[in-house]
Amino acid sequence: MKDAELCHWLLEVNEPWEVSRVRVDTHSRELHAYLSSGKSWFGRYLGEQPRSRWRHLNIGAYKTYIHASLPEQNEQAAHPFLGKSTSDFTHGLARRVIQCLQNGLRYRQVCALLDIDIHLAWQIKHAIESGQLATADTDLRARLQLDDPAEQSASSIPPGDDHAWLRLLALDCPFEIRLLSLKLLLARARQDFARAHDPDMRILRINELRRFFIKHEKHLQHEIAQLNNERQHVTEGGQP
Amino acid sequence: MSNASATSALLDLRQASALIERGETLAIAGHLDCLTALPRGNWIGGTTPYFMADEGGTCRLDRVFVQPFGPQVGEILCYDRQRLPHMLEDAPENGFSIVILPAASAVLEDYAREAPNYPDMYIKPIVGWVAGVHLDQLGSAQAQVIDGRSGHCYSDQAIVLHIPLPPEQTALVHAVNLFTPGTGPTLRFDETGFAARECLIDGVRGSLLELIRARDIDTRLPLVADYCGAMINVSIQALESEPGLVSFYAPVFAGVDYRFADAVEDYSARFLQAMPSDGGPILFGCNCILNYLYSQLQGRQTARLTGPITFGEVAYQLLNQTAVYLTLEHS
Repeated sequence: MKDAELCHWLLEVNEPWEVSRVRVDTHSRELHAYLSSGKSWFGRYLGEQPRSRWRHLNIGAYKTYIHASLPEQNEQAAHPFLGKSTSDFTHGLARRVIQCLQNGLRYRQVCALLDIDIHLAWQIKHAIESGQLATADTDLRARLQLDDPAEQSASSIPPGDDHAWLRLLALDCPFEIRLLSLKLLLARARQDFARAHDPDMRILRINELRRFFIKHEKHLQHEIAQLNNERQHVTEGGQP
Repeated sequence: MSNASATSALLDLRQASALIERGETLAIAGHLDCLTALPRGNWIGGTTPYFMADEGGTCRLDRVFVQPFGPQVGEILCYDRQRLPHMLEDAPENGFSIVILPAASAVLEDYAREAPNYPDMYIKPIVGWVAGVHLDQLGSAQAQVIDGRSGHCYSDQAIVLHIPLPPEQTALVHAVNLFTPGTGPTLRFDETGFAARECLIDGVRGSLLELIRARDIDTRLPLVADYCGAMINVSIQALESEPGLVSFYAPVFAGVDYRFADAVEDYSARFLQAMPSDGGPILFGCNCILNYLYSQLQGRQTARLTGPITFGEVAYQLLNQTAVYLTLEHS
C-alpha cells in the first residue's frame, strides 16, 4: 500500500477528496498530507490557489497537518479532516477536544494529551467560548474557565482575529523588521492583501503571517513588541 | 548540526575528494571539469570558476569551493519545472535548503518569477545560487548543476540539499546589499518579466531605454525596490537586444516601485562595514559575479563571507548584485 493510500484510510478521507501526497518529517515528528478534490491541482502547481493548513489529530506520535486549497474546501461540508479558513485546526481535532472535555478532562490535560501547543490551544479555546464550534454545552464553556487564564496569556503573539494583523498588513503601517524572511513575507502579504477582495484569502495571509511569528517567536521579540504596542494603543482608545 | 565539522574553503581536488569519501554532506562549486572528476557521494554541485576565498576574490579552474554541512545529513533532490514549486514542501520543518539553479534555463526563469508564491516560501529558510560559466565561455558552454550521488549533470533542473536541524538550532538567511534606491524617478512595471520596453516613470508612461539614455544612467547600477526594508536588486543585462528593449538578470515584478541605485564607492571597504561581526557561524555564503566584476573584488576580501561567485543569488527569491549568507543560531 502506498503512503498516500495508507493516509487516505488513516485520515478517513472521503470522496471526492483524495490524498495527493504525503510527507513525513522524522526529525520534527510531523506528517503532512496534501489533499485534492480530484478536479484541481493533482500535484501540479496552481499559483493562484493558496492552500490552507490545519493541525489534525495525531497519527501515532506524529503531529498531523492537512493541506488543502481554499476554494475547494469551501465548497465542501465540514469533513473532520478539513477546517475552516479562519482556523488552524480541523473539525476533527476540535470535535476530539470537545469530547475529551465532555468526558471530564481539564483543558490543560486535553492539550497535553493531544500535543496541542499554546497558540493552538488558545485558538481552540476561543472558538469554543465564542460558540464557533456549535456546542451548546454551557457547562463545558464554564469548565474551560477553570483553567488558569495565565496559560492563554503566556503567548505574546496576538490571536488571528486581532486588529493588529490588519494594521500590520496596511501598506502604510511603519514596522521595523530585522529578519530578512519577515521583510519579504510581509511585502508579499501586503501586496496580496491590497489586491485580495476575497475575505478568505485575506484570512489566509494573516494565518500565514501569524504562523511565521509563532515559528520564529524567539527571534522576533522586537517585532512582537511592536505588535503589542499597537494592540495597547487600540485598547487605550487610539485610532486603529 | 555540529559546529565541529569541516569549514568552507577553496580546496584542491584531492582535499575535496577526501571530504566526500569521509561521508560529509557538501555543496561544491567549481569548473565542470573539476566537478566531474570528484568521487560520488552525498554532495550537490554547480558550475562557476569564480570564488570569494579567504585570501580574496579569485578565478580558479583547478580548485573547487566546498561548503560542508556535517556527516551523512540531509536529502538531495532534483527538481524539474513541474516539481519545482513543491521544493519547500519537501524541506524539513526545522532546517534549511540549499538550491543551485543553472543559468539560462527555464527552471531558473520559473523560479525567478514564481518563487515568491511557492508554498512555504519565507517560512522555511532557503538559500542558494545560480551556476554559470567562465566569462570567456559565455555562449559556448552551458551552466550545469550536479547530483553528486550519481554524477549526473543537469542544465534543465535545479538541485537541492534539504538539511534538518535539531529543535535547539535554527537557520537564518541574510543578504548584504550595499545598493540603495537613488534620487531618480520611480519606475513601475505593468507585468512581471525579464525584459521591458515601457513602464510608468513617476506615474507617466514612457520608454525605459530612452530614460536610461536621456539621463546617462550607468547600467552597472541595478534597479532597487524596497520590500519592507529589504533592498532587492534587479540588474540590467542588456540594452536593445531587440529594438527598444531593456533586459534584466532577474524579473521586475508588476506593481513594485523601483529606482536606479546610487553608486557604491569602494565596495570591499563598505562590505566590511556592512557585514555584522556578531551572529552564529556562517554555514553558507555566496556573492554576485557583477559585484566581483564591477567592484573589482579580485584579490580583495569580503570579511568572513566566503563562497562561490555566482550568476544570481537565492535568499528565498532570486536576487542580483547581492551577497547572501546563512547562519546557524540557537533557537
